[in-house]
Amino acid sequence: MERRLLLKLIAAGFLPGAASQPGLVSIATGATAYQPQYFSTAEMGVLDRLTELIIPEDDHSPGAHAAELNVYIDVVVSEASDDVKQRWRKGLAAAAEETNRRFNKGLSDCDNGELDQVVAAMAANEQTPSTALDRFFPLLKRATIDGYYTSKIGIHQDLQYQGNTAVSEFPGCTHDEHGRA
Amino acid sequence: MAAETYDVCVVGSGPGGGIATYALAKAGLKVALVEAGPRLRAGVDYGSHGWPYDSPNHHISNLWSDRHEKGHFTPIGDRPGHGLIRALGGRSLCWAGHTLRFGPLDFKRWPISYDEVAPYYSRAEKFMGVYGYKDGLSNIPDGEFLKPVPMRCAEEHLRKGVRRLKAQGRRMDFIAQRKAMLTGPHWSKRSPCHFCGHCSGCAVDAKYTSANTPIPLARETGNLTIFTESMMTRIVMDASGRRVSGIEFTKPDGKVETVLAKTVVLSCSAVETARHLLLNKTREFPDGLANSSGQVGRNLTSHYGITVRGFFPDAVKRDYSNDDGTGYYHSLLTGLYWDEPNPNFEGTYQVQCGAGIRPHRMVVKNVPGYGVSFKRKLRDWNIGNAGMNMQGSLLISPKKFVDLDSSRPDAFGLARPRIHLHYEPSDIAMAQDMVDTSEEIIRAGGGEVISTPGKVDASKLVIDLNHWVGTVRMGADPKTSVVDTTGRSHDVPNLFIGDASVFPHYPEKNPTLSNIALSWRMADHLAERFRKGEVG
Repeated sequence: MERRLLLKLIAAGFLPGAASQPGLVSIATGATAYQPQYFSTAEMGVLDRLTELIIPEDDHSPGAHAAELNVYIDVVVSEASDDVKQRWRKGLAAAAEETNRRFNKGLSDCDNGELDQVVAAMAANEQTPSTALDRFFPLLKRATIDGYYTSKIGIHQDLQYQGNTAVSEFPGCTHDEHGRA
Repeated sequence: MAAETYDVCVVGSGPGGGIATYALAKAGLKVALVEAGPRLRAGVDYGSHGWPYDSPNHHISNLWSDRHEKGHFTPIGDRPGHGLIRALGGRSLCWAGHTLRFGPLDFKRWPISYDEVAPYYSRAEKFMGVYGYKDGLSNIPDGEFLKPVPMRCAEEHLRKGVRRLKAQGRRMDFIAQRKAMLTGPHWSKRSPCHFCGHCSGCAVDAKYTSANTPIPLARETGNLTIFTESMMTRIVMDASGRRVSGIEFTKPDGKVETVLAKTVVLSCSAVETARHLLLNKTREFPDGLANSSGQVGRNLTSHYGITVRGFFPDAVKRDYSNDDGTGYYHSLLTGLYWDEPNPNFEGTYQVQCGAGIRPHRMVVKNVPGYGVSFKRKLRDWNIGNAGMNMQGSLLISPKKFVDLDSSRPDAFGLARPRIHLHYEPSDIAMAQDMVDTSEEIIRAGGGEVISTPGKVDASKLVIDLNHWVGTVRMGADPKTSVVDTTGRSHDVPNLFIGDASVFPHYPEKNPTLSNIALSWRMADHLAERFRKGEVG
C-alpha cells in the first residue's frame, strides 16, 4: 500500500487502531521500521548519538543520525566475526563504565553533553590508545566514516559526488592555475 | 572421453591464454581452451554501477569483491596474497588496464631484446585498443595510442612538483597513464569508455579482456572448442613419459574428462602454472613436470608497494566535478633509476598516482578528532587528495618461491600453492626511497603530506596480489631456466607456457601488455612449428 494512501486512510479513520500498529505508522510516516539484529534498542539509541557526535549535522550537510548509521553498524556487526562483535561489546561496556564513573549513570541515561565528554576522553588518546575506552574510539569512528560516506547523504549531500554515471568526455583538470603543463 | 585430438590445448583464459588461443585458432590450428571457471556476466554474476547504500551493509558489489577466491593459497612470511579469479577471461576481467611497454634497458636482463618484442607490442596495442600520450621517454616506449585521458587537479600539482625537482637536477618524469580502454573508434567495435570508474569489472567492454576480444574472434574461426568450469586436474603424458598427450579436467559434479592434444599451452598464471607443473610428478620428472632445472616455482617475484598521500588546498577550490575517469590512477611517476642505479637497492619502482573523490570509499580516513571541524577536514582532504602508490620490483632471491601445501588440498584434492614471501633489506630500502621522494614531490607541488608510513619496515609493505611472475623463467640454458626464449619447455618439447611466469627479470612496469606480447610471440612460434611439420 502506498504511503500517501495509508496516511489518508489513517487520517480518515478507516484504519481504527492504526496508532497501535507501529509497522503501519512507520510506513505511513516514513519512519524506519528497522528491527535491530545485534544491538539492543537502548544501544541503538546510544550508537545513534555517538555517531552523530563524530559526524554531526552542520551548515553543509546532515550528519550520522540522518544517515541512520546506527542501523548500518548494527547490520555490519551482526554479520561480523565473534571477535569483531566482542570488540563492540567491550567498547560499549568501557563507555558505560566511564559514564558510571563520571556521572553515576548508564550510557543511555546520559544527555548529549555528557556523551560528548566521554567521546572527548576517548579521542584524547587517538594516536596512542591504551585502554579499552581508547580502543573503542577508532572502532566507532572508522565505522562512522565508512557508513556515512557510503550513505546517500554522505555521497550526494556532503561530498556532492557527481560520478557513477556515463559521460562522453573526461576533461580532467581544466585549471591553468593548477600548473597544467 | 573426447574423441578429437586437438592441435593445441590451452589451459587458462586470462591475458596470456586468451591471446594464444586467438593466434593459434587464427593460424588454422584446432584449439581446445580449458578454463576452470564459468562465463561471467556483468550485472548478473557480479555488480556494476550500483550504489553502496543499495544494500543494508553498504557492500560494494563488483567483480573483485564478489568473485575473488581468498583462501586458495597458504601464505608463508610477510603477508603474501593471491588474486585468483576463476572465470572465462581470468584476471583480464578485473585488471586495471594499465598498458606499459617494458623498455630497451629492461630487456638487457632478458635473453631476448626489446627489438624482438617491439613488433608484438605494436600488434597487441592495436588489437587491444590502448589510450595514451606520446611522451618520448627512453625506457617506457610510446605505443600505438588512442586519444589520451588527462590528469585530475591534484595530479597536475604532483606534476608541478616533479617539474620543480627536475629543475634542481633530479631524474624522474611524470606522465599520464596508458590503459587498454577505448577512447575512440576501434576496429573491434567494442563500446567506448564512459568514464564511470568501474573498470575492474567494466560492464560495457570498453576495457580489453580476453573474454571480449580474442576469445570471440577465435570462436569465429570455427577452430575453437571452449570448456568452461573445467579444472585441469592432471597433465597426461604419452607412453614415452617425455611428451604430453593432453590434460584431464574435472567438472564441478566430479566428472573427469580428457582433452587429447598434440601440444599443451599452460596459461594459468605464475602461481598456478608452477603449481600444476609441481603437482604432475612422474617417474621421468620426479620433481615436477618440466623441472629438471629445479627452477619451477623459484624466482617468484611481484610488485609491492606502500602509499603516501598529499593534500592540495587549491584542488578543493574548484567546482564539484566527476573525478571517476578510468579508475583512480590517471598518472604515473616514472624514469627513476633506469640507467643510474641507486646504491641502496637493486632495481627500481614507479609510482601510480591518482586524485579526487572516489565513488565508493573514502580515500583518506586518517583525519584526527571528531565533530564539525573533523567532518569539514575529512571532506576537504578527500576532495583535494593525491595518492602516490609505489609499484616496485621485488628482489628475486631464494627466499621467494612457490611450492605445494599437501596438508591443504583444494576441492579437487590437489595440494594448494604455498607462497613464500620475505622482504629483504633491498626491498625495504627501495620503499624508503619511494616514501622520501613522494613526500618531496608533494611539498614541491605546493601540497601537504597527510599520510605517510614514515620509516619503512616489512610490516608496512603490501604485495601486489595480481602481478606474480617468474616461476617458469625463460632462458637459453636448460640448467638454469624452464622454457626457451620462445616459451617452449626445455624438457618436454610439446609443452609451452603462455603467461607471465616466463619473465626472467621484472621491471617496475605493469606486466599484462608484456604477458600478451610474449604469449602472442610464443603462439606464433608454435604455429610455425606446425607449419613446418615439427609437431604432430
